[in-house]
Amino acid sequence: MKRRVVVTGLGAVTPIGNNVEDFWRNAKRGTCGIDFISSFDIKDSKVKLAAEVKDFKPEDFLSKKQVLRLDRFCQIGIVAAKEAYEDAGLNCIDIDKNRLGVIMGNGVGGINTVTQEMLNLQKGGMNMVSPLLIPKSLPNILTGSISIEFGAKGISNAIITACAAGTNAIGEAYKAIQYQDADVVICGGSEACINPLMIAGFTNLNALSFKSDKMRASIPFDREREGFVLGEGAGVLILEDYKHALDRNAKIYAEVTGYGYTCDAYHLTAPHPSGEGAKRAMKLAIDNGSINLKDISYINAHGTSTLLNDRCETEAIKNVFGDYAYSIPISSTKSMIGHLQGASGAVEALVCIKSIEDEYVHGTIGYKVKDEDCDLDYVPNEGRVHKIKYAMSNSFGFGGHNTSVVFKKM
Amino acid sequence: MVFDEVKKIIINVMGLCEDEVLLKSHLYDELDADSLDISQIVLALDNKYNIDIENDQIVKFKTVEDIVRYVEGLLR
Repeated sequence: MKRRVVVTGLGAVTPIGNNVEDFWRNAKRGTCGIDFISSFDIKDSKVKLAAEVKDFKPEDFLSKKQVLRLDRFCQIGIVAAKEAYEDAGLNCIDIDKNRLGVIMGNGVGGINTVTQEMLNLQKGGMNMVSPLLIPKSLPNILTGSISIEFGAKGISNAIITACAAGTNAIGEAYKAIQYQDADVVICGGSEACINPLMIAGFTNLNALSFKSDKMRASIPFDREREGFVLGEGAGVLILEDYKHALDRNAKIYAEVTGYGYTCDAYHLTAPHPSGEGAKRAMKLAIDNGSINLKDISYINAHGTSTLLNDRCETEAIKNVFGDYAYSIPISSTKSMIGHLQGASGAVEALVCIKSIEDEYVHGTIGYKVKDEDCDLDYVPNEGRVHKIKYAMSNSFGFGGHNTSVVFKKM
Repeated sequence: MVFDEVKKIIINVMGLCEDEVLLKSHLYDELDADSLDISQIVLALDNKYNIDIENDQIVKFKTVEDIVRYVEGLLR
């Protein structure tokens, strides 16, 4: 028999707050976390803006050795995981660590380390490449280092589905608990890849916004959108068997009731024009929880601010929900924090849960010009009070990955 | 002096304080080193002195002094 799965802990490090409380307060206010890139000289870069995590001091949370040995994407991920673990009260009790799992997603792993070591190689030859290149850059090291941090010896996996990775990680954790492979799973995503190599790669792929007005760069569903803004950060959820959570009197934020994932099998980077794969993912996530379409009362969109994504996602939502699509508030967190790549889905799932808890949906900021193809309720600019029964979070990734998860108010 | 150089490298690699690293310090029991630390220390020494410390030798290093004496031997 499938078990019920609930959310009992949350953690976040984002461009608008380095913990859940700060992040959510700023999200409700519609704070823009986008600014001029500070991590490298942008003189020669067409793209000037990104959404960087600010004032993050890893030494405040991690040992000296962890700081030296871990790439920024791991440092940020561990800090978010610590917050989630403590929020769930797991640091205060004895749990069976063989039943504690970790499933984390990311897009490009320790690309900062790879970039630096490539420069060392070119400059000084092979002997100048650090022995830490491999352990710092492997994408699964995020899962491994979080497992070490908490002594988690149960199921262990690393999800690499580009921008859908955080959502897939949550979905896989949900399934693992449903089918009794674990009782508690630390899951989510982390990404930190704002460097010249990645900015150049995305720029030349025509994926990024070139705008220098930070309020008009990441403008999901707006007719003048032209690309996404690269962001960095982490989101971590503690998923737990419902009975396990009840037995230890844990605070329960919400229940996970659905997970759907498909592939477009169409193009390396472009979504299918009809949003067909996205539609099926949403439908699977809804059917998976045996709920009615009209039970979904909030959608946190993938909403990247690219021409194609926002049009195709809108089309897919309409194809799933019909006329009811016009009654669902849909917001894009990326309007405030840019695109966190493999961490985006995890932070946006966290937004769904906070929205359910707070009965408040944040706005899609910077919105000005209506697009005929994007005519749903994107909660433009201002958030609003809104009771939510079920919330759905969408994530789509290069490679054609489409992933949706559904959370229910308890 | 080789010891000063080894000490400096160990401090940089492992994030230790100056007074923690002594000639007699045990790499694993006292300084809490592991294989990743040793790989970094050895590579830094290879580059500093233009030497090549062999893999079969690396596992024999137990103390800071073991490293210092071995490097001194190569430099003689």
